[in-house]
Amino acid sequence: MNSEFKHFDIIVVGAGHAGCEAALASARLGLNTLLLTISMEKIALTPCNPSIGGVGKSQLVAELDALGGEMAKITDKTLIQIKILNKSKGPAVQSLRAQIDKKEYEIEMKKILETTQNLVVRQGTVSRILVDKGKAKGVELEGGNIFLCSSLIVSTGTFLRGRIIIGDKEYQAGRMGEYSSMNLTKSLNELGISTDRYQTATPPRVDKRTIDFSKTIEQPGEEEKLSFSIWGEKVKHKNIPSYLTYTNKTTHELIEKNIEKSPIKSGVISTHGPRHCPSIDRKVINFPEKTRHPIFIEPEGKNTNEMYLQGLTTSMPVSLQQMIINTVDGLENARIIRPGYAVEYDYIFPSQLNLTLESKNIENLYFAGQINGTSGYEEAAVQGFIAGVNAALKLLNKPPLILTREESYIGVLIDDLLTKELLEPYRMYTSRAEHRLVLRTDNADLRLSKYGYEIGLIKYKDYKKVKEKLSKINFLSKFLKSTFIQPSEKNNEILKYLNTSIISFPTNLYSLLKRPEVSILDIINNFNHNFRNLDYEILNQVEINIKYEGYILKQNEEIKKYKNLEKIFLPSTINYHTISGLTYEAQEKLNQIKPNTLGQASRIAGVSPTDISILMINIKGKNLV
Amino acid sequence: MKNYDVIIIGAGLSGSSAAAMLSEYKISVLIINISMDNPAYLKYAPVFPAEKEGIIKEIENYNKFVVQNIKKTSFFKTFKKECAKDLNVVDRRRFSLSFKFFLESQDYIDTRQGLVTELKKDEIEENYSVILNDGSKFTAKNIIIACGTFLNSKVSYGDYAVKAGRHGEICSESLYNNLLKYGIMFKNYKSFVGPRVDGKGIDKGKIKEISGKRVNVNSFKSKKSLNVLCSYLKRGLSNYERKNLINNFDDYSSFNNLIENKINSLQFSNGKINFILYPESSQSEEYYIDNFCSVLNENFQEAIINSISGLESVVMTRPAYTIEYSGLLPGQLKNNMESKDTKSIFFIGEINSPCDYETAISQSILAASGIINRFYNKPLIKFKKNSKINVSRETL
Repeated sequence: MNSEFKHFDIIVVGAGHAGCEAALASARLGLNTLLLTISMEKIALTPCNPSIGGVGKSQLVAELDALGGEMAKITDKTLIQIKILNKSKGPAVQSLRAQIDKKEYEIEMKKILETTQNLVVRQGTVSRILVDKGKAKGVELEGGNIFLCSSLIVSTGTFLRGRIIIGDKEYQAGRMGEYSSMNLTKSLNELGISTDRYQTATPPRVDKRTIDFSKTIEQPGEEEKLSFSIWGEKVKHKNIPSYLTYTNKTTHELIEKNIEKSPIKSGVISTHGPRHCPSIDRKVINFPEKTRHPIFIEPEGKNTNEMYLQGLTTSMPVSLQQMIINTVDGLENARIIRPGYAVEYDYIFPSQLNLTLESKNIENLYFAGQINGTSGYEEAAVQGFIAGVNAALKLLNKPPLILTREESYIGVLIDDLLTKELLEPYRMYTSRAEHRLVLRTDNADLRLSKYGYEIGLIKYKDYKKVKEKLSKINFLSKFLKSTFIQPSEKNNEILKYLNTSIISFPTNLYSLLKRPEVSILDIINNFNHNFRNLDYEILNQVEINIKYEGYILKQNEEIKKYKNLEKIFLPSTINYHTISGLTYEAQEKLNQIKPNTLGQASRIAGVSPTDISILMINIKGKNLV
Repeated sequence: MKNYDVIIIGAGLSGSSAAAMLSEYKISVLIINISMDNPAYLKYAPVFPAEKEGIIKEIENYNKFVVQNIKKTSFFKTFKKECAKDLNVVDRRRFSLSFKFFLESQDYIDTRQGLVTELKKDEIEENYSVILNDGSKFTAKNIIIACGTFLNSKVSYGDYAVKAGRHGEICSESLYNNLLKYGIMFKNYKSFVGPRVDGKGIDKGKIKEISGKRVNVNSFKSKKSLNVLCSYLKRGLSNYERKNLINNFDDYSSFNNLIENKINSLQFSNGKINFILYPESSQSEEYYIDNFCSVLNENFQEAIINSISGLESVVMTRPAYTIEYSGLLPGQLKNNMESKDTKSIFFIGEINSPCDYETAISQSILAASGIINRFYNKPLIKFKKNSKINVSRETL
């Protein structure tokens, strides 16, 4: 290669959520990094839902945050509403979800990229990947410019041969109004990397002024102090509400009547879209028994009247989109500003990667984000981070960062991508993680900041705080185990007051806390005042750990059982639709694939560990034959 | 379906300004743009310079919002007559976002994302139908075509060329073919956008900082100090560069503004070329280099930038590029920017030829006044004889 070309340690192609995290991680680890984007005006765009987090996803964001990623911090700075999902359920599935101001998020990310040392952001469309002797060596841009590198990360999202579809109309575009990258796929294929097509879609945006909010249910944000980032201060946010309404019989009839015009039926779209985020067309076909589907009306930002209609994804002809919208309560007069559309794009089979997201065939070539067949900003961001960190660590001759399924959702995500057969864009769910009782957002720092510190992306002063927190947790746990209270009259009075049964022999505080009706605050307030000043976070961790101990042990037993799944056979005569408790997605997949063993079933994307447990119970009860 | 008074095709600076003015007079407007992400995007240097203060003051009489928006989103002001006399350096992203919200909030304006492919005239109703690429149809009595550099256009630098209206954005081909049917005559225009550099690499010791007053910066949450910078270049073209230049651009000699031509002429004199670097935003490290148009490929552009005093080690974040597009052959419009042959179709902004922001806004005022006066059937809006706004038209 000619030495007249500029050389970088790491080049990242694409400045979406994956590319930004990859470039930041690599530059912060001291490597000279170039981030290339088709347009400098579209960095870290959130082209679909204006939100970060959600069930399964906020776990990813928290883990990324604990390791030294950026997403949670920018979310805190630019959010306009924050909510706790599954608030009434256990801490393992509780998730944060924020509505963000789209444009402010982009501006903030661009600013952070530009002020990061060792990082150069530059406009350019990559047409070819340069490889020499089986190793990635650089990129050629449209126009012929060449940049060389030691490692290359490709995170191009939906831009590879992107095609937009609305009704019977289609045209080339990576996102609405932007042209796609037409040549890079060919270059990847020539290198022996196999690709296929996926599809995803986005709902229409409507004019806020044309919505009758009196017919909708206001969805306020949380009043309590919250923070997405574990390193940030919890504050009370100024929330902008979103609104809930529902589709109805008229909506469904209109869709049924016109279903032939839906691209998913007319054949314009033949590729797989995300089943977890079905279009309203598909929902109506697949769930004829449902009389309504929820629609969340969400603001796209502080200073815009564009409202996102979550739940109304469709790529029907626009005239029909307009009619469908107008059947919904509150949206009778709603006017479309941007029609919904589907986008079809190339992705690579992620089974061609190893656990560091490096290509198995071409050394120093990494892939991250939607190009790996995933969906979601959070899924993209964590992959970008892992690719960026590993590309950097390899160049620094350090051991790679590989997170396991047992310790993180990130590990689950990457392991699933590499080993499971993907039939649709991959989205994270809590049900995908066998160890979800241990992998919580509230302990992401305790689980992972050690790695963040070791690789050099978490400062010592921050890591020290986590270490102190951990030692306080351990101290308090030990204390509760070793401190016994006597069955005295006074103590039993207290227990009665706490609505729990009295004791007749010395009992440690640990056993008392195991009782569902007793909280850690009850114990500390009544039996040991010394810990009153401890942080809520610490008390909370100790409480969750002790209360969940039994479940976690049980879960581990279950996981052990999984190892025997290969030996459990499934008759091909089963109609999975008749097994109640399975998700619809799992029923459909299982009927389609008809796996021979439970082991095979467990590897199908969309079939969760919970589904496997249900199948196992049914086998034991012989309901299956 | 709603019949609008006016449909504006294109939400660039001229189209957005026309919408703002029409809505003041309670004339209903639908404004359509390929992408609703960046209406009123200022693609050249983000400056409203002092020498054009007169026209801006005049514009304010007709279209208050545009001038307010300039003031609201500018983050740097200077009154000193050093190597530049800038009135306002605006944050182009904030300018666009604030304009977008204004349009979305006006009672008489509807915004819509879409690519217009066809105009149809309904002879009986005296209406026009506007057809979008998604199949939607809208109707209006008047049409303002303000699609800037997006008709049949190509973005290029060096050997690279892509069909685009601006860098990264798709252009419109069908509308061009459709307008031909109306007998509209076109010619090719070229417009030049300057490069951006990463401010981190600037050697401020070698560069003159133009002092001024930072304004509105707090509302954009910036802690950084920013100044407009001024630098110069003092050298000729190398033989290699000249060869590349000639290979790349056959009729380059006709564009005196090209940096390569300016450098070429430096060889025969002892002069120097001054450049002004405008920060993109109070929240960005990027600088736009004004006075730098080029058709060279990225490497050569970067080499020239790196030979400018103080910019020896900067990285070019975006290359300068040329937009070649189809615009109107002059002489087809009346005083109010209406087509002479086709009633109720108005053309404003860069579709009439590349122009500065002030001219684009002036043309929007002329078209909007034409429509307003006709709508109310009396001369509500008048221009003085020596009005600078009127002059902006006469150059066509």
